[in-house]
Amino acid sequence: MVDEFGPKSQFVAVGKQNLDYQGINIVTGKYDFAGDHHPQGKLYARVLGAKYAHAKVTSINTSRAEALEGVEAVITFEDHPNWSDTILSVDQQIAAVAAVDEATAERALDLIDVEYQVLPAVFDPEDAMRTDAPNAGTFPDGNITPSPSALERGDVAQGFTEADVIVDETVGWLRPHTHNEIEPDSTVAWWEGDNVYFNIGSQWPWGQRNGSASALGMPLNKVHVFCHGTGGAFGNKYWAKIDIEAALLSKKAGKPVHITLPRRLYTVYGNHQYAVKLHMKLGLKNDGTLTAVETTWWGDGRSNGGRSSWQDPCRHTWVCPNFKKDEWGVANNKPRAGAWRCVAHPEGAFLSDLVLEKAAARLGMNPLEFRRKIFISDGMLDQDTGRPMRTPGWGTRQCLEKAAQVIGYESKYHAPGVETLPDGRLHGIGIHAHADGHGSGGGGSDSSVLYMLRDGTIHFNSGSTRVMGGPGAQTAIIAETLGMRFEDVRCGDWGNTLASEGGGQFGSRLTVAAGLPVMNAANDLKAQLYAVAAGDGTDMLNVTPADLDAKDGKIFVKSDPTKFVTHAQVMRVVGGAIIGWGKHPGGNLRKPVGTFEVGSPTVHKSGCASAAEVAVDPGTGQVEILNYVSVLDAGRVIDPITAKGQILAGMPLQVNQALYFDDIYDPVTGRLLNFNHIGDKMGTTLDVPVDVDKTDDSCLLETIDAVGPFGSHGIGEPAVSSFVSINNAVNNAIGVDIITGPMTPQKVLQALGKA
Amino acid sequence: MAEEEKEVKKGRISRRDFIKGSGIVVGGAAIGSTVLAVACAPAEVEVPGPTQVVEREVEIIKQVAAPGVTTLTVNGRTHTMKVEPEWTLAFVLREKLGLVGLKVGCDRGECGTCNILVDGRTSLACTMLAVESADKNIVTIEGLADGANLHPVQKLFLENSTFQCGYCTPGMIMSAVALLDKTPKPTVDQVKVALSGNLCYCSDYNRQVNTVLKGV
Repeated sequence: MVDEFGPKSQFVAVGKQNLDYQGINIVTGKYDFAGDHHPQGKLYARVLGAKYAHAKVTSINTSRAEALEGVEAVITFEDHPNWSDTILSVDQQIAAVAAVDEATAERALDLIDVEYQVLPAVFDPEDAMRTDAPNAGTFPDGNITPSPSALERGDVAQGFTEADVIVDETVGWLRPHTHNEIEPDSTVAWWEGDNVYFNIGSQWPWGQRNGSASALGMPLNKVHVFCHGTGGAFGNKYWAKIDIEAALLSKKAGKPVHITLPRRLYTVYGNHQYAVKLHMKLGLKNDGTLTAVETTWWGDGRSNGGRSSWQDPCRHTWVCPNFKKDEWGVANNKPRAGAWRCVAHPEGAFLSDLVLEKAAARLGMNPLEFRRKIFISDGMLDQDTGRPMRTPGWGTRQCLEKAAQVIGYESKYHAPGVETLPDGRLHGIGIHAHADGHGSGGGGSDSSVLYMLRDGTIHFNSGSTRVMGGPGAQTAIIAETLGMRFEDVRCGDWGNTLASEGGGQFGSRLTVAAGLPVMNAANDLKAQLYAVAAGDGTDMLNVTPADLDAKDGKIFVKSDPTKFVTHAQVMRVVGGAIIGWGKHPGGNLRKPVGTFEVGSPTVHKSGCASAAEVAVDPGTGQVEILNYVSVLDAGRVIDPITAKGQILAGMPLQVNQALYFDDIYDPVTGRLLNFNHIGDKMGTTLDVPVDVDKTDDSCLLETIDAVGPFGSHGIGEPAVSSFVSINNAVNNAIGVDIITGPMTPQKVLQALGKA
Repeated sequence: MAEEEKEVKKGRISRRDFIKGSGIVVGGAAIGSTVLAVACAPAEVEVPGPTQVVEREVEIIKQVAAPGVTTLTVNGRTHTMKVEPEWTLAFVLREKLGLVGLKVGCDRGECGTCNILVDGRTSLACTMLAVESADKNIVTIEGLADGANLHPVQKLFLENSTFQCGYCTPGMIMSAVALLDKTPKPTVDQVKVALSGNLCYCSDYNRQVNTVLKGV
């Protein structure tokens, strides 16, 4: 595809299989994670959690813990600015101990005497919504947010009067699941004078620094964060979860303090994906046209009552002038809820798609045909704002068609529950696509600084971390912009808050949010270089900067490429390092779209689709995935290795969501019972059918984003948000609609009336 | 007076009671869970609360499990050092010998990030005590390369960018090394079994399995 950057074949670094230059450290075990740091005299700390899910701490006494040999510092909620004696979920932090080793710290926790006034607690969101439910302690009155997050476009009541068919369904609760990344949170904190230093693993080191500074009441220039490796984050490592207690203990003990959360507490103090329920009412013409979409959502969570943007996928994917949403949060005494890989789209796409399938059945339409009828199409403006879309609407449609073609949907589709395989199992096929809100890399505080050194090479600190693949994309963007060789650009300290401000790495925003600042910084450097190269200094070109271009380490005269100087030659004339600076320009058009001029504000949607073919054993309820494909609208692929890694890595996480993840809380204590890796049933190489995945390079559709650097945008969350295709396939196989996830054998047997 | 009787008078729980109660033969080193010891203690022992358990644990460690000197052979070098009886091998390798290539993801033998080779077999360092690792040949990820020459499996992982965040990679490489040492031409299923103990949340199992097969 051709756009203003020229044909793809002309690129030197963008879209090429460049070597991941941090890889050598990863394969030799030298790549540096937060817990790998060993400052002299380091102490080890452990955190004490409350015994009860809803309580008031009436007294706490640490004297016996402090007296234990090997203990060097103890703090409680009285010392910690973000802790409280009001307990709203079990294991909420109330004290911490630093000692000579982990075992001693752990032992000291048991010597802290705590007394509680225990209050009634509620854990199940459906229970919490009842008028006679115990108050969970979040809202003064009841457990539901006082008002919903509401939106209406058009006139929904009018839309229903125009409908031939009304579909009215309640689906959910979709069960939540907790984060369980392989690297637990780990922080090493130490002080030098009145400056505090942290080694952390994070997807937003700058944000985590800001949080610590604010809690400690310190100016930002005295709080320093280093972040290199981060062992998976997925929406769980962006706030100061254990940093403040590490700093307080370190100050008290006068030594560096290292906290690593034990596995159980890691699953408690992190985010938990919301449990979500949906009531959806659709107004439809007989031909499938939508006249009204009315949605009410409930999501659970402790701190904010769990209100999020579940309606996003259906609101932006389905064409309907009349759309209404009310989103309610339901507070309870489970641990905090929040993003898991994506803040709300996996749940939102799952539940709304279950209703879409029911609507197709009511109309007697093939589910693929029904989607073709109601999906946004090319040239459409955003239905809410009338602004242009950054990637064309056909991105979502093309994802749908590609997934359908790869899986053979049209030839394999059959009415629900009618096809049996020769071995007696039930055959099913399912598809899903939506325009995902993530990947925009919307404007934030992101900025970038590049140093061109005296030998003509570049060193930069990205300020963002390696949670979403290597430094390849940013390096390629810089090299391509400056006409340099990939190997002459190197990223040094990744998430170092002494360097560039890397914004939050959530919302699949890194490609654009870090990519645009580095591209702007590279252009800033380019202007400085060209000013010197164009001059008439020794060996310089004696033309004007506008006459110049650069490629492959040479700055040359466009009209006569044989006249050139190298970047190194220019830098010898400069005689020292020069600095390029760039900031995020916001989500405005980089190229004209339709009648909209460069600079117009835009709306971003990333198309994503998946399709699955399954066999369901009616005797055991076991689901086997026979074929699977995932398709993403990727904008321009900058770093093929990472992009392909994202889309292929999406498959196991989609399978886990569809079939395995199912958190179980003790109804009495509110503790998560299956917190460990075996209990949370995360798939291994033996469980995830990677060999049936038909996803290949052609499943990364390059649609050229009108904002992102070189036309790229993010794909991380869209890669895991379309797992409902697997559930649709199971429902197609068994002929009964299961309206909650995951599709466990037990649920399948229940649906078949066998359990 | 017999030694054991003297100890009964000194401490609240004797070495003999502890050994008898826990059913574990403790050579002055390995120590089981105190909770287990107490749970299995003779009937006349009053069942204690959690803080009493901790106090007893400290007592027991002082009496029967004084730190000993252990010699560990890691990546061809021997290290003679003082080791607390409750220190895991993972703790000692990482925190005392600075071999931080192995990670401690779950600390309960589930995730595979602390995977090392002990006498040629894959072993989870978080589930082994340092004191039971003496006289064994231990190889960590740091011991695979021969100077600047990477081990063939490391080379394969590097060339195919078989990692994203990189946290599970060292453990996974050790699994692959152990597999290919014993089974130079594994089938797909053998590779899947060999890597099934290494969890990966970035989860490109596809690339990981195929990378190992490229070494066949």
